[in-house]
Amino acid sequence: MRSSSTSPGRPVPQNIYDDTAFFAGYKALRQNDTGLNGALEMPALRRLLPDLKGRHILDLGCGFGDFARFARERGAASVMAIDVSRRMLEEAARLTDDPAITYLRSSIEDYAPDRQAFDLVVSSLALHYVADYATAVRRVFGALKPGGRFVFSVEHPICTANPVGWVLDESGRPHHWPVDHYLQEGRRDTRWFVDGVIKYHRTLQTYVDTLISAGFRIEHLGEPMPTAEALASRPALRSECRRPAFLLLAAMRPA
Amino acid sequence: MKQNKYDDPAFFACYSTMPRSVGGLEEAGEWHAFRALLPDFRDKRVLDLGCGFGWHCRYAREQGARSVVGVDLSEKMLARARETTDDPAIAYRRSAIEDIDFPADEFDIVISSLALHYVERFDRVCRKVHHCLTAESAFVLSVEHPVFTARAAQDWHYGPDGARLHWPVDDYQQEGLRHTSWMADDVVKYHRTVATYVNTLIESGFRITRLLEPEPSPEMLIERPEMKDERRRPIFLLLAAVKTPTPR
Repeated sequence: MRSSSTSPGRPVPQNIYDDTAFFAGYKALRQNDTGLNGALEMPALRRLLPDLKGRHILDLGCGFGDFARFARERGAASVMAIDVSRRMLEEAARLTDDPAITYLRSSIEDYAPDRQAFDLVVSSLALHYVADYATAVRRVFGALKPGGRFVFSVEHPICTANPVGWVLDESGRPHHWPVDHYLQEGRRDTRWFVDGVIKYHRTLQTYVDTLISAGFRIEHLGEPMPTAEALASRPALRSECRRPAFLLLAAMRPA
Repeated sequence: MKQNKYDDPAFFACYSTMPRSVGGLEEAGEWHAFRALLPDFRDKRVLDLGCGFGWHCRYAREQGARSVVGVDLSEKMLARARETTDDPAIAYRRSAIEDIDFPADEFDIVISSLALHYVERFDRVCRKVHHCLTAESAFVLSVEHPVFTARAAQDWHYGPDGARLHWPVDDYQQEGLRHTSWMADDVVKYHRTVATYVNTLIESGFRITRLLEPEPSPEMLIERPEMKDERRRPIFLLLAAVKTPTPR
């Protein structure tokens, strides 16, 4: 099923979002906005975006296409939205008939974008599923026009290093977040809705230094925390001040 | 708060026995990584913020620096630094790092090794360093990693048998004072997030050129087996940045 570009020994891109149980759980999470994405990650990512008017945008790991529709509302000229999951894309296609949004089924690893075709490449919480981050970064750099931007979020390395969740106290409340194996990068088998969700842990050094080595200029590094309003309406978010759940990076291909 | 813990006799005595205090740079676990970030020193004017015993000042001169200014708040540290060299091109000045006041374009390289986590206002230091550096020049710094400074305890979480189970993180987003007990009671440090270290440099007019979370060198892992735990959590954050022409 994978394209011929898959070389021997290279991990086959995972497609957990087409797993029936995973998809059902994930869809319910997004619809109810009970997750952290809506409270923390999405607003933080949007704050890092440049003006979208007239821009040609690539979205790596578009999911239900929320960002693609948002970008078009903000005046984007076109959005190329890719995802490995057929179910996610079917849902995305059902939600819009906008001819300026193109949904394409591909893994991030296998997608080879045209050179200098985009003003902005966005990726929300997808790159921690990708084994070969350096190749993805080089491709994004090549796909951007000079002066173009790459804005993305991933699960924070503090969270992916040892993904076992909070250590609880005797009364079952979070006591602290356990970090271990931090410098040992690579595959982590986690449970999220279902067993066997594969993520890749990378250090902050790798996330940042790989961008710089590829030629990017770092413009911002974000570790978002809940806003005062969010904390007031959802006190459970207080634990999000205790360790960073997300890492955001905004980088520019120099003009 | 500008704490001068290094002039506390007990603290000073204890610090003086650390491998890095006796054996110098080669005994510091992060030195191989820090050295790799340093630019060519030949004929450069160098400023070292929090110079301590002056190891980095002397290294810069060995590498051909034209002149070095070492700044430290501790008179005891500076006294030892002065005893260790009679090089007239190294000048030691007693000052808190926050209080430096050098003219524009005074230096070609600014370095700071494991000192800025003692400083309350990283933003002020960045602005002052930007001011006294020449254009396109480097600021290279190391600090205790935010994963390490988040909790004041700065220690592992232990099992009932005393084994190191993992490194606990808490209060990460709560920046500011940490009253730690590193070699003495009430050593004041300041926790900042990685985001603050990086974004403050960028907002002060620097371009980030490297970010490192070094592990001990393979040789040191063999020499000191206890160092293997250093791979379980990051202890140091190293940043190299270059002054861009104008602050944003």
